[in-house]
Amino acid sequence: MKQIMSLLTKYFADAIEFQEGLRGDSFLILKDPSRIVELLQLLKENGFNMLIDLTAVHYPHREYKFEIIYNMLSMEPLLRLIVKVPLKEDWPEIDSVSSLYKTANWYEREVFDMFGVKFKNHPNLKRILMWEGFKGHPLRKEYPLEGDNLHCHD
Amino acid sequence: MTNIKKELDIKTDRMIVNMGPSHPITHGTLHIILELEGETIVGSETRIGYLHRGVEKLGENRTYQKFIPFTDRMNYTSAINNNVGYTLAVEKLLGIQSPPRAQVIEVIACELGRIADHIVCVGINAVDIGAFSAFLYLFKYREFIYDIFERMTGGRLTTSYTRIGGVRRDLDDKTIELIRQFIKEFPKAVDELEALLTKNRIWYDRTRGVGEFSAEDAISYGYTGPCLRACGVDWDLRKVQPYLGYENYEFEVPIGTRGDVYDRYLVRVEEMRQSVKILEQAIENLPEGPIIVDDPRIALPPKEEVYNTIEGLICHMKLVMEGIKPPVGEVYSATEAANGELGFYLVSDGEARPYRIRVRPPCFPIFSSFDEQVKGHMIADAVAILGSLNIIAGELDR
Amino acid sequence: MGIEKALGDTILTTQLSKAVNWARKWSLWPMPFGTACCAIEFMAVQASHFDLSRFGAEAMRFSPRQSDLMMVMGTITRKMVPVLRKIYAQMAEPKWVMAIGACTCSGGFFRSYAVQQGIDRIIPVDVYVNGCPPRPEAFIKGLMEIQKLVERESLLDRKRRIEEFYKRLEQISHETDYEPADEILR
Repeated sequence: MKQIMSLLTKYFADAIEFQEGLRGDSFLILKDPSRIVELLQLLKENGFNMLIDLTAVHYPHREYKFEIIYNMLSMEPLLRLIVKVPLKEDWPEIDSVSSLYKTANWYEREVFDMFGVKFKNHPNLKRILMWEGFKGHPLRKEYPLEGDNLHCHD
Repeated sequence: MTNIKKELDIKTDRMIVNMGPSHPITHGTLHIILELEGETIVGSETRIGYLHRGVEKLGENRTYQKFIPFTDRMNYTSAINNNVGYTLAVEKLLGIQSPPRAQVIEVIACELGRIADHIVCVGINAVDIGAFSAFLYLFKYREFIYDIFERMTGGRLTTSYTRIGGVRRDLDDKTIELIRQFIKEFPKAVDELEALLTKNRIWYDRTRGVGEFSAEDAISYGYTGPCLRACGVDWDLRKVQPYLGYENYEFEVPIGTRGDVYDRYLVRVEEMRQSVKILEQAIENLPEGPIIVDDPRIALPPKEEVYNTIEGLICHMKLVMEGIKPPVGEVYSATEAANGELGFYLVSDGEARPYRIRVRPPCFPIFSSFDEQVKGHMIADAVAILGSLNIIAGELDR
Repeated sequence: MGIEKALGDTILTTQLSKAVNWARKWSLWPMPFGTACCAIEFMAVQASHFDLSRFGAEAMRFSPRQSDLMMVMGTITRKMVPVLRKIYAQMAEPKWVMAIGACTCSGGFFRSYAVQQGIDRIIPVDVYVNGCPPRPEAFIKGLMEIQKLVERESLLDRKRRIEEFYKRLEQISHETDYEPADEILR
């Protein structure tokens, strides 16, 4: 892990920050969202061959309204790293990593569906869990739990 | 196929076939649109979301304990594995560990759940291909597991067994006897199943070479679980990142070679045998002790204390009305569910309700590769591949 | 609906209804519309321990055109509603609907933006079986209730029921902004 950390600090210097999570998980905060593909490319070349999860958290009361979470796994040696990318806008956009990890395709569609975060260069950014034509993004904090009483017409 | 077409100069058009949301494969509601040229699949598009119940948003409005029944209904063929995975994540957030007896009971429950899940997967796979009797023979043992679960937890399918800090009910003697009887009888059932299917010419022809998937593609797609092991990658979270004391049990992890439907079937059958081995070891080494942690801020105190002392009453009231208040922070915790790596990412802001619960479903990335996997095969193979991937819609859509 | 058509409105049938209803009751061909956990309980009911074929309901036809009992099992989400309506409309009369599980009866404990709070807002339901999931014995009891309904039905009731259903659909479409699927009315 220390090797990876020193390699990353060499390439990214100020744009990243390491944090130790509450119970021992390793977090990496990327302050410059435009370099996410570069970062994940570097991680992929250094053993992190699986993208386990890609999700987002909405913090409407903070300055950085969204945090996109990339959960990375290296199989040999066993290492887990969680990359967090804070985004400032209310309706942010970020580069897609589906060219690096094929699994990111559907995960990014889900984040778009649930939060409204757009991914640039995504091959097929459509809604996945809600029906097409659904208005609103359910997992945002301002969306009501019981919905807006929208009906799905065929 | 194309030679015949050129010889006879047949004009073929591409046809679009809809394996619509309600279909007999009983895997739940998946919508698959196949583009066929003759019988060969040229392209496909899958649509999911027909069982999206908004569990993650519901989790943000319920306390940590109240979320446990929601986890049951995600992967409903092995509900108890989901319970264990979730409570392990919350325990990691709180920084506690359940007592040793509870850990062994949870291992027993997980392995029984794994066997139950593989029974459903192999059974339904067999039904899709046409071997109906394998399903009936296997379901007899699933009823046995249901009996054990009913004695253990009170519910057949949706168990909600674990609590934060331990389990809800202890195993009594009759349950332990039933488990011992299960351990004796189940290997014979697996032998029966293998006799029916493994060397069966029809089964072999229909499943060998169907849906082959390379290991690099599997890792790029985020596969975990039996489907990844069938592709030849030795990856099992119980061995690599052990939890609940799995390092103390001796078992092997079956690995396939070609990643096709036949390999996945063989991996699952062998995993069922290994689960029985783990069960045997667990039930022999069941330690004595409490089944839930003793902390009044986390676990409900026993009923005698609640009814007779004022402290017990107040603790009970606070836990039920307000809930558990974990420290501020984020954790990710993963377990090896029957289908792969089931992960829970919890974001806590110190309140009784989680700020964000993210469930990482094992079959979401597996199903996203279905389009690529099914190209070039016949339409009947698509059904076989879908059965072998073990897609549970409740988990896929949450 | 051959007999109803042949006889029309003016003939009162007693022994004939009994015979027809007896035949219908013991050969209900279910169409399992299973989505979630209740479908797994249904698989257990169909297996050899709790056998459903002793009620003549062994022929599970997954096609709506060949069945007369639709068993809706599992959560019906709002995305699934048009599909459910279409499939109900495709079934031939006489048809019965059994709503199995808490999610179909009333949304279950998923009170969220994506779950339809009860399918009786969309299609007429004859028997509700509740439970989460219901025990196999409850399933069988539900089937027996349907059998009782079939037994008591006179041949004129069917027509009346269909008229009432369409009148109710019209009413609903005027009350809310829910438009009934045009395919049903066609």
